[in-house]
Amino acid sequence: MTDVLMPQMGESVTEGTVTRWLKRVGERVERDEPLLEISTDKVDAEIPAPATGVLSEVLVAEGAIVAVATVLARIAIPEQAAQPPEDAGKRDAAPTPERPAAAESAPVAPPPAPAPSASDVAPEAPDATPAQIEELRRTRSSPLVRRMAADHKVDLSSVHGTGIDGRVTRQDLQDFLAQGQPPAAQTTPVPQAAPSAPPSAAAEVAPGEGLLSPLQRRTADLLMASHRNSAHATTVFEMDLSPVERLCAREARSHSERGGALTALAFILKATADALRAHPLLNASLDEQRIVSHNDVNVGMSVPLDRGLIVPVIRRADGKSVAEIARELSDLTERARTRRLRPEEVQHATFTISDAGALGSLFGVPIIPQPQVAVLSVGVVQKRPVVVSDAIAIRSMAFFALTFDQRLIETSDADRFMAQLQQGLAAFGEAAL
Amino acid sequence: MPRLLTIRRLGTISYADGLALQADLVQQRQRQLVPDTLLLLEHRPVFTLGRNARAANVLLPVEALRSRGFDVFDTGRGGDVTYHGPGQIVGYPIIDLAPDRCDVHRYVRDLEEVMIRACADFGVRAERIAGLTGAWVAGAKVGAIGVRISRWVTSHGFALNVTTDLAPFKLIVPCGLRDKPVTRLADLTSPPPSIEDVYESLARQVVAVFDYPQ
Repeated sequence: MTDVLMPQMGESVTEGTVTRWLKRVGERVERDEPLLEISTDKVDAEIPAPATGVLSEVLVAEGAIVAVATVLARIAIPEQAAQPPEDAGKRDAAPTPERPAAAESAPVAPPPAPAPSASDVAPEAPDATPAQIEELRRTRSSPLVRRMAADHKVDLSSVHGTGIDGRVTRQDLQDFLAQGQPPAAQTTPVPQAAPSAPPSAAAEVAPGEGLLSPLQRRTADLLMASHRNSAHATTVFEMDLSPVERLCAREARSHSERGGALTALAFILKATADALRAHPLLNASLDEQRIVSHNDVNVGMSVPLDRGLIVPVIRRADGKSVAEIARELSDLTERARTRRLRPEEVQHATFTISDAGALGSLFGVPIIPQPQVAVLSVGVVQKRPVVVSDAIAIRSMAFFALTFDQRLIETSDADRFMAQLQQGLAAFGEAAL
Repeated sequence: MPRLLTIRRLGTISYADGLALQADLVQQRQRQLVPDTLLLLEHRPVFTLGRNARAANVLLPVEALRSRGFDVFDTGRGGDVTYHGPGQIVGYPIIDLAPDRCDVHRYVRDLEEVMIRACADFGVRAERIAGLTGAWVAGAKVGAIGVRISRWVTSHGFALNVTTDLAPFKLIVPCGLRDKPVTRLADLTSPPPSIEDVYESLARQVVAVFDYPQ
């Protein structure tokens, strides 16, 4: 086992940030191959692996600042790599997206089979012909046969193969099982129960691969940065939108004639803006350690597009009437869908609402768009039986989930904000219009 | 191999070409196939996002920047977001810091020294600001630094604004520094220096600061 240490990158350098791991736990690394990246003071540096082996432990997460000489990871030298990194389950997981990345950096030559745990099993000699045939039977048989063999704990090398090059066919295996042969595993020490995925198997299951686009990568970086940097916490309230729905229905005809029908979303946005005005902390930004409070309440409303989404911003929403917000919302949404928004129309949001209900979700728990400190997910509005004054009534209900950055916002602050939003929605009357 | 510096003037090249050339040179330098090399060039207008770039520091969505004719690039270097364009001299030293210059702080300070001395060649007093990198004149940044090191071989480097159009900087928060304006040599001295002279000055100062034989 070799430790990977945070290197001393200069006389006056005492610490550095781990920016990116280039290898995953379980992956093979060659000595001097780049293993991770660190940054210190505007300088990014690649740290090469100090030894050849398998990355067995990563001790420091991306984004962490660590002192020089901290142990960052451990590399198991092949002789010691007791844990086979690939188990039977892993093969089935091969089609998942993470897999191609790992496969891509694997050396071209088939990786040496993980050392069998039974120490008395001689390592396979690559030039021994009988061993090769056994290997062929084991590994070149179809995935189906290999899986059946694994399920029945049968060592394929002990089954007579009638297929090409002596491969074991499904029929061979069924015949073998029908004969009631004792499971091979009990008669021979078999490391084969956990076959190392041979290159051919990897090729068979690869469903096609691709790379994230630069925009996707950038978005991914931002999401992960938010995930890492903010202390995400969520509180969920159930909102009674019956008054809002009633107003919407009543006003629908007159407003649609003037363009910009009233929608529940416009009311929700208005009530949210009012609640933000009363709870300025949720309208603030947190930039590193700096709290920036904003005079304007600018509410971003995420609009799903065919691919991705866009977040047009209703500026100074607290100063606008529901009707004004409704008109603006319908205009912005329409132009977002046709991609005619001006850049300034998607900037400077101080808070974001995500319309999870548009696609039927009960509520979402979105990642906070930095440097904002909270995001409200509005779930689908459904008629539900609720208890009102000890009677069962049918009400239009929806779950609202507020995800907030607990570095700045206490849970009680978040709950008070939500309670006010709840009251605001219940209190809507003619005056709001 | 004696300590030698090859200086290559590349004219105006795309950011992508610059990256590819650097990647190539870094590999060759690591195998001791080439001597230390200084690439001097200008880029076509491009915004580059360093590894630590934060969304808040790009004031327009990436698509909006692209639609205005700017390239936008994710790079492997450190730092936040910055702009390169004509009139800004970019220096990419591909230098093996081993064995006797293995100190990233010293390397960054040396690059600052190169730009500070080049400014002095034109009568402009640039300085360092503690805690920040780059070359500064009266609180405005005239030269920026972003460095990558792989097995002690450097890439990326410095960018000195000579006659750069500064308007594109307004679309970003350069290097994530909100209250720090950007300036250019042409605005700091009269008559403005010819960019050709600044190229020569920078090349000379790299040789001097890094102790290459004259």
